[in-house]
Amino acid sequence: MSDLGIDSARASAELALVRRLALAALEALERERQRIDGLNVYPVPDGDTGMNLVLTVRALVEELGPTESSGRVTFRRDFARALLMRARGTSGVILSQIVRGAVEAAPVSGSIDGRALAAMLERSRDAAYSAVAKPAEGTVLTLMRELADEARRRKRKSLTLQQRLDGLVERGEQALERTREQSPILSEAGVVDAGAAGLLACLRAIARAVAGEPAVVEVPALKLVSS
Amino acid sequence: MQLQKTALGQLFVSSRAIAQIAERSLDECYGVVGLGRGARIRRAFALRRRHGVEVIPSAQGGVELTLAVVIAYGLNLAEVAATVRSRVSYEVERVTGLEVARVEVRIDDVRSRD
Repeated sequence: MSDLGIDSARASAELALVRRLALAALEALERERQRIDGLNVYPVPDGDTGMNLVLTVRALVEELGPTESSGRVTFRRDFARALLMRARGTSGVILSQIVRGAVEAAPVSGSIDGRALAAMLERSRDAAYSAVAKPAEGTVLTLMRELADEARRRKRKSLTLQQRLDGLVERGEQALERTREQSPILSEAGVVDAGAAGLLACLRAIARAVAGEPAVVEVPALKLVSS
Repeated sequence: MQLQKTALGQLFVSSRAIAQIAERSLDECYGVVGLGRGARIRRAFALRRRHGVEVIPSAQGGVELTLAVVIAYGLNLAEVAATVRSRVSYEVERVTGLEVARVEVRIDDVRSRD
């Protein structure tokens, strides 16, 4: 009985932590929405990538709402269903695949070490790539692949979670910058990929939140701001 | 289908070419893991069926497309269908200049990509 109480308290604390991280990501996306919309020239230049990501992550936060702690297993199942139903637009659908992969591969108990983080990001990458016949380069998929590579490269090094996340953000910044050259459409427009910029904004916010820093960050200047 | 008419002559594009363009953009659509078997030709004037893409000239000089697709299991079908519709019509209009009057998306199957 007391064991159950401890487990339940732990599950509830973990849920609160995940919710805090998701909220940090949502705040970052809401702040950067217009900039991300302005980057949206591919696949259809309809300037809705930022909004789609905001709606998708907002749905995710709502699903993580102040509910009874239910343990990781039920939580995963509910969460996957919610993500499936509430993802918006291509970028939202891809983000929901990324989150679903990470949640599925997250350890059932214990903390997230190098190996667990690498397993989560590799599952995210695989889930993201699994739903497209011919993945284009210079998209959020490319960024996801690089993040998974980075996590795997450093999985055996003795680092804190914070150091790992900071390393991922750094690699992500470089990968995002490279999307500019990876796609002819992006290089013609002189922009980085909108979906990738959104994913990196989430990752940056999560890294800050884990560090306990305030979520507000300086955004590197990018060409083509939403008019 | 006629694209241009100038003093020197006219420019036509075949429905086969349009189907090819649609098919290429379908390959890169997120959520689409394959093409369907193609729509059964109900109408005698359906010009060309190319795998999952059927191209029919519309009354106003544009085209109507029917896309038969296979979607990845686990995704929100309505959301994927909406993005397929906007992406393929954008691409066909961008490349040909023809108006895409209508896009029917038919989900033939749902499966995991192996």
